[in-house]
Formats: sequence, structure tokens, C-alpha cells
Amino acid sequence: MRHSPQSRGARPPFDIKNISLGGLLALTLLSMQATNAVTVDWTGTVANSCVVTVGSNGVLGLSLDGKSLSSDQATGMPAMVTVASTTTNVVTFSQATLALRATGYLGTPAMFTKESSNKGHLRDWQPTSYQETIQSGDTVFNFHAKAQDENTFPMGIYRMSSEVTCAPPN
Amino acid sequence: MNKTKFGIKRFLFLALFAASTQIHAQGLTPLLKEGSTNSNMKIFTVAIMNPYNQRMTYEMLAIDKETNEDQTDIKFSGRKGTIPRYGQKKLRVYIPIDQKDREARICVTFPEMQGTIRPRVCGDFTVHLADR
Repeated sequence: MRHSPQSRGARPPFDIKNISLGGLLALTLLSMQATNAVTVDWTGTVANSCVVTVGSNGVLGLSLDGKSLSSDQATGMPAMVTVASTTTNVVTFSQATLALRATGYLGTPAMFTKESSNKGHLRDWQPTSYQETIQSGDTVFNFHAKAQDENTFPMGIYRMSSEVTCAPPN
Repeated sequence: MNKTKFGIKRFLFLALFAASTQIHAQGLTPLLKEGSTNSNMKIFTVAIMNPYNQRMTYEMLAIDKETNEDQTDIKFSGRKGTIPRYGQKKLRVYIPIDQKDREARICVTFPEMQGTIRPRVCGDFTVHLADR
């Protein structure tokens, strides 16, 4: 059996005097800490703020008769807009505009938007801008746009555009 | 004939989908602030936020709350610029005043945004002229 130098009667790893002194020092420090305890506070104010996120832009689909271009069609998709607010604010959906059109299309379509949200907002097709009041938290809007014409929309690329504004209530 | 119609629709769908895949976000705080001054200028500090993993280009606008007209006499310490991902930027808004009260609507927008949705966040700032 092999013995370490300590087990063979050599100097112990800790001096008993050092242990006593260390214990005394620790006790002193603990008692000092107890008598000098302080409370640390962190304070902050959450201001009125709003963050508007466009999760995904919408996709337009053409109706079977070719006269309605809308995100509400089977091949379309609504835009998804998340509004994170720290208090009551107002979201304004502007009237949609035809920002990009096929070169062969010279018409002036009637433009509409509609939306619904995870907080119970529900608005059917609107020809003008409108507002929704939101509370604090995240409100996710599904936002649709539609262009309607008496004539067929010719082949090409179209883009409808709308402004979504978060602002304090009046 | 039906096949051609379907082809046109599919092309239209794909073209529109390709043109609409960017993700954008922006934030502004505070949205309401009021202050008084006995000089001819009031300075407010606002923070614009970019909570997402991409650099954001912003543009500040000052508009009339009722008419949406630009209020060009209101200046910013940085009217246009970029915010790094997950970043914030503090700006100063300089609102001149020569009447008893003035209300200004300050908005942050994305000038480069080409998607179907143009997000905008606006705050209302009111300045009162203190007795001199």
C-alpha cells in the first residue's frame, strides 16, 4: 500500500491555527454583512411606445371572371401586421392604392381594404381609410386589399399599397 | 383556353409573391410628450427602435395632425439614417414655437420600403410657450 507524504506523519495539509483564524475572520465578515445590509432598487418607466411589424406582405389573386384582384381570392394571401403597444393607441389603415400595374392596364379600379385581428377587430371591405383602437400588448392584423374593375385585369405585375400607422388617440 | 387562363393566373400569383417577401418593423417612443419653454425652441428626445435581425433605414417626418402636410420647420438631429439590428437610436426633435401652443406629429417611416404595407409610427408632441 502506498502512502502519501501527509499520511506518513508529515505536516498536515491545514494548520489548526489557520483554520481557527479563518473561521474567526469569516464570522466577523458575516456579522459585518448583517449589520450593514442594504437594499438595492431598480426603477424604470415604461413609456407609451408602439412597434409596427409587417410579418408578411400580402399576395393578390385574380377572381374567376378576371375583374377582381384581391388577397381574399383562393390564390391570394392577406398581409400580416403586428402592432405591439404599451398602452391604448390607434391604428389607421389608409385607403389602398395601386402602386404598380401591368403596362396594359389603364383602368381606374375601385380600391378596398378589410381586416381582422386576434383581439376581435373585424372590418368588412372599406373604400376609405379607417381606424382601430388597440390596447396594450400584441395585436396581429390580417389585412386584405382588393381592386375591382368593370374590365378584366390584363396579365402583368400589380402591387397594392397601404399605410398602417400607429399613433396616440386624439 | 382554360389552360392558358390558369397559366396566366399562376404567373401572376408567382410574380406577386416574389415581389412581397421582405419583413420590416419599426418602433417609436414616446408617443405622447408635452413640455414648455420660454425660448423660441423646444427640444424633445425620441427613440426609434429596430427589434429585428436586419439593419433598418428610417426617415423622420413632422406632419400636421389634421392635414398631414409636412412641417418643414421642425428639425431632427438625424432626419434619415440607419439603425443596426436589434438596435435603438436616440434623436432630438427641434420644434420652434412662436405662438402660445404648438402640437406636432412626429413619424418614423421606411423610405425604401417597396412592399404592400408601409408601416408608420407617429407620436404627438405638444409645446407650450411659458410666460417670458
